[in-house]
Amino acid sequence: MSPKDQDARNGSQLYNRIAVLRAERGLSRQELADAVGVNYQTVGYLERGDYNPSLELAFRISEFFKLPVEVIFSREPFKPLSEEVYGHTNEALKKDR
Amino acid sequence: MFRSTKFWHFSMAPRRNRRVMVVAVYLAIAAMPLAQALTHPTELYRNVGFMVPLILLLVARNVFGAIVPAHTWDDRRFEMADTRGVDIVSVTNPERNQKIKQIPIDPEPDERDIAVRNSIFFTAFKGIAAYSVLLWLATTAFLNPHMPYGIYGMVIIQYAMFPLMVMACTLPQAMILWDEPDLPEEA
Repeated sequence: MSPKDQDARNGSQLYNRIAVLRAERGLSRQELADAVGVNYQTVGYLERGDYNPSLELAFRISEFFKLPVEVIFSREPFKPLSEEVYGHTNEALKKDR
Repeated sequence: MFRSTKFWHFSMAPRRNRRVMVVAVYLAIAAMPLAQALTHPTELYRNVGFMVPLILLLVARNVFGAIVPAHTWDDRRFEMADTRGVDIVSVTNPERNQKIKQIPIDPEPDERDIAVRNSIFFTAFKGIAAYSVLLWLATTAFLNPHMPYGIYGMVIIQYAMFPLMVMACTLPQAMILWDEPDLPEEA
């Protein structure tokens, strides 16, 4: 059973903003991977939610991005940035169209 | 986890391609003993015939090994990496030094690699253990002199032992290739 299957069975799926933060800073997966000490494939799996990081790796990532760990990882799905910053919901956008 | 995302000209990043590879390799391994069993069942391990399954096994191990390390016994690339420092300063055989330099060295497994590997080995071990028990039960029936199987009893056990060897040597690699989700194409 893969770690993801185990996570799904335990109901412990973690959501994260690694892909957004990496894109914001213009980093490749390899650069981020080198900085936090994992393989670039693992960064890809983290971004897709295929793997939940250990506590240590989560803290290393948060230290690298200089953000609190709860800003990067959450047990609930993150709201889209447009909704979080401007309060626009998908439903409201659809109505405007 | 993965040494390479390519095998010859085929991308092994999509899981589908890796699954096709695993099925093709196992079919190739099964084909020879199966053909032998259907045509000349008692001659599987006579003369040099017994080498063919072994060679197929090593080929499978290396085909899988091009993508994912085996970890069942010391891996050549790790051994080469360990002696690289000594060989590179050698002035007696510079050509060999150059060849050794070109061998890609496996990256250290990270926490996910280790978690996946442990999980896969645990699952593979359960399968191999279950098969071993069945095999032992089969030996009590087919190698029993009081049963009417004769030479065929021994041949059946020989055929039945082959999957055990294949599983012990290649199953973890095959399961990693089979299970791992699609890989990110670019780093």
